[in-house]
Amino acid sequence: MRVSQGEPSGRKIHLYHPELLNEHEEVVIYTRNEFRRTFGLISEQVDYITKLNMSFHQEDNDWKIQGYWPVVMERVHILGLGVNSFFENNSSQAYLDAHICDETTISEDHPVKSVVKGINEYGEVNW
Amino acid sequence: MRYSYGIVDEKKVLAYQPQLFRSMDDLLIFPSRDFTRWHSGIVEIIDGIYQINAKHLDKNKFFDTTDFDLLFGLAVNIDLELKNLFDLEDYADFSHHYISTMDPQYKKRKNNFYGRYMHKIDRNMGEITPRMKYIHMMEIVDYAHRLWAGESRATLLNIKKRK
Repeated sequence: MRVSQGEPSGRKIHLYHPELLNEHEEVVIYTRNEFRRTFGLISEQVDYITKLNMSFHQEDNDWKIQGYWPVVMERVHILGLGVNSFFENNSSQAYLDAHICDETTISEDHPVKSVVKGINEYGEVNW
Repeated sequence: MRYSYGIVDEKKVLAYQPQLFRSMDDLLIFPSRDFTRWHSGIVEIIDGIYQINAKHLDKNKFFDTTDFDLLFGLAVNIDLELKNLFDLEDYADFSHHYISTMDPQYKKRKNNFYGRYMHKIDRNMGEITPRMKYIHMMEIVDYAHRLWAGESRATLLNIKKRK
């Protein structure tokens, strides 16, 4: 599908790829962060169902499906909520997910203090 | 999720509700016709899953592996739709547009809690033999004897431990 990123400036929005959209075409605008969350929510539920299905084929236990079916339907329910939230102005259900941001710091083992060799902390040159 | 419609005007977009977005937000802009078509495609697949689930309303019928494989196939279709969203060469098929007319009672969450208490429900029960019945009875008798003896030391000493 044709899609472009954009940046708001006042009432107008500047496009990164204006050549993809036709003139006088109606568009839907989402914030990228929220769209990513909802998209991730849907794909996560699909992944869960896929993994469960693969585990069943390895063990070949038909009777277990009676128990796992409600679990799968619960996932489908969450998936449906995610899909419906594309056209609702309420806050997304995906916001309830805990997300810990991994802020890795740059290691300070070899800090670059000076390019020139022989310059000490006070900036004096040792000849 | 916050969303707003807009219109393309001289290579810029005029949003109908620009107050929803902050100036530092990064925005994604889709053509609305294509996007609603894509959305309706996913809704159609989810309705298909609920149609398989509708079997559960009749309590005499049980699910088997074919049902689960069907559901898995639909999940794969959702995955394909998700992948096609950002594919520039994938054009939307406008030949049909699905509008969900499914009764919401089929979409209700129905839980028999088997999934949660599976290990408690499936716990194995041993057979009750006459020997076990006798041991159980004697345990009750021992308990009654201890109550009747109370705390008097003389009778407590007379109680023998059976085993």
